[in-house]
Amino acid sequence: MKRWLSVCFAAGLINAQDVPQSPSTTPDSLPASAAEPSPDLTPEAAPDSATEPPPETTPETAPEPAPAPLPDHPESGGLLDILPGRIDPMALPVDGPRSGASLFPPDLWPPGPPPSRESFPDPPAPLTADELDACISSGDSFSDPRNAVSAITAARLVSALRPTSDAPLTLLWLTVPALPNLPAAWNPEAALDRHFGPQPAALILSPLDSPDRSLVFLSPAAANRPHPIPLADLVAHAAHRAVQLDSPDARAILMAMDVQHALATLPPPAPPAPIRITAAPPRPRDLRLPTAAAVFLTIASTIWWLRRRLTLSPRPILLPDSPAAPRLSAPYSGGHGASVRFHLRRP
Amino acid sequence: MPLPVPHCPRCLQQLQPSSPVCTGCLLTLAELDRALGPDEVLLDRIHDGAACIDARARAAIDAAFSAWESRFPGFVAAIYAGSLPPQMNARTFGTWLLNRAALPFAAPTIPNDCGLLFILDPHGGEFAVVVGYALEPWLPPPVLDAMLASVRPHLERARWKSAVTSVITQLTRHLAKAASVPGRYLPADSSDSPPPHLPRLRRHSPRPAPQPPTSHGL
Repeated sequence: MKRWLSVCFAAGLINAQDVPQSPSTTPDSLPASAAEPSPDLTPEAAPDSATEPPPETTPETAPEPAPAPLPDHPESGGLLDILPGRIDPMALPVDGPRSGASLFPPDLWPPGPPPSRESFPDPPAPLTADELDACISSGDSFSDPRNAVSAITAARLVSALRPTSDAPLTLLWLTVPALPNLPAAWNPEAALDRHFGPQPAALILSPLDSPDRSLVFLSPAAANRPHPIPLADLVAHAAHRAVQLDSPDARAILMAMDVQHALATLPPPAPPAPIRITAAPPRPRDLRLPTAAAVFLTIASTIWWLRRRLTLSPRPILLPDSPAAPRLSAPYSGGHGASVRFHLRRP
Repeated sequence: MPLPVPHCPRCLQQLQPSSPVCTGCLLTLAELDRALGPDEVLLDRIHDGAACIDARARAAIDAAFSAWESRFPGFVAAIYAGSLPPQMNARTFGTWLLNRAALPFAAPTIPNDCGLLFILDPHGGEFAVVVGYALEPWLPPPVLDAMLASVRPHLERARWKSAVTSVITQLTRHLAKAASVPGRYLPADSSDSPPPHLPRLRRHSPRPAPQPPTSHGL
């Protein structure tokens, strides 16, 4: 019962006035040990209790067994009997918290000094178009116009982003403290095209506080390649790894190294697949005219050849006279010729 | 190309070009006249004594002969289909017939030495071709033997029309090919030299101009 009531009171289901008060629950009648406020609930009373001298212990009275959390004495109806060592809510000041007042009264929670302006750093000034153009036109692989990183980190970033001979594009790394608002009139692609021309280049705007919100701009020469470089995917993958680190400088270095390594180990583009030129199936409609023409020409040529051979071609051929001399006393034929014998086949 | 060596039509003995008698069998035209008669006989273009050529075959053979004669002006072709005299082969009978036949269907200017005569004995089983002196240089014996051997299947099946027209076709092809190559069968300078023994009257030959009347009688 005592335990249940204490839980209900702590949860605010019952009011302190509803609890039947007994004379023993008055502050005056509180024993010294029970009336001692808890230091975590009454901060202003803590110094008083702290100033009280600890009870003197004599060798005769010192080692007493520690009281049980819930003493096993009969229920008296007093709250302090149930929760010994706790502050009595009734002991709060009369002019204490009233209904509708703040949960943190000034006397209990004195307002601290207002936060100083130095504790909140000024937001970084937005980058101007001239600064961005200067970073691009400088051609440096790493730029830090706002000095977002330390000199050591900047040196390591410059070393990590040093361009290599086999790099597929020129990489410009721009580190800013936070994601800036880019000038509306500034066109990064036009600026890259104006400075690099046909040479592929890319600008990575990496905020130091959130690498995963980096911006990637590709020059037209890099974007219009037959096999575009998936630089945005590489930067996103590197940022995904970098956000697992705590130090902003370490994030920037890891991200730059990852991107540079990915660009260096980018697989060469696959050769284009051979184009198979397959002859389109002949359409029957297309073969009608050639077939008809071929048939017509064949028939016409055959008729012409037959007519020429049978009727027109027999041009008279005049054989010269022969010098054969007559023989066997025959005036016209000497019996020149040939003969063949045959046997009729029976059907 | 030299002229083909003549052979005797009866004993196939090789003869001299102008031998009056066969040295093997003593064959002469006079001997044949004694056996068959010295008179001329009338020979039609298609003489079907054996009644083996029907009307359709007759028309086809006649058309083939006409075409061949048109192709080679001055030559004439005929066929004798019937039984042969006893103890006489087709070539020997053809030799006598070509020398003694009168060809009423041919122009009178065409002599018999420009003739091509087919001898067909359907019952005796013999088929022969005899040519005159004008065709002799153009038709060597191997060519004629090959032509007749090629038509043996037609003869064995009694397809006389096919046999005759086939030989005519082969003759036409051979003669046209031979005439396209000057000097293949004849010397180049022999074309305009008629044999001195017989005056030639060819359809295409220029006839002599008529002589003006003389004034001997005046």
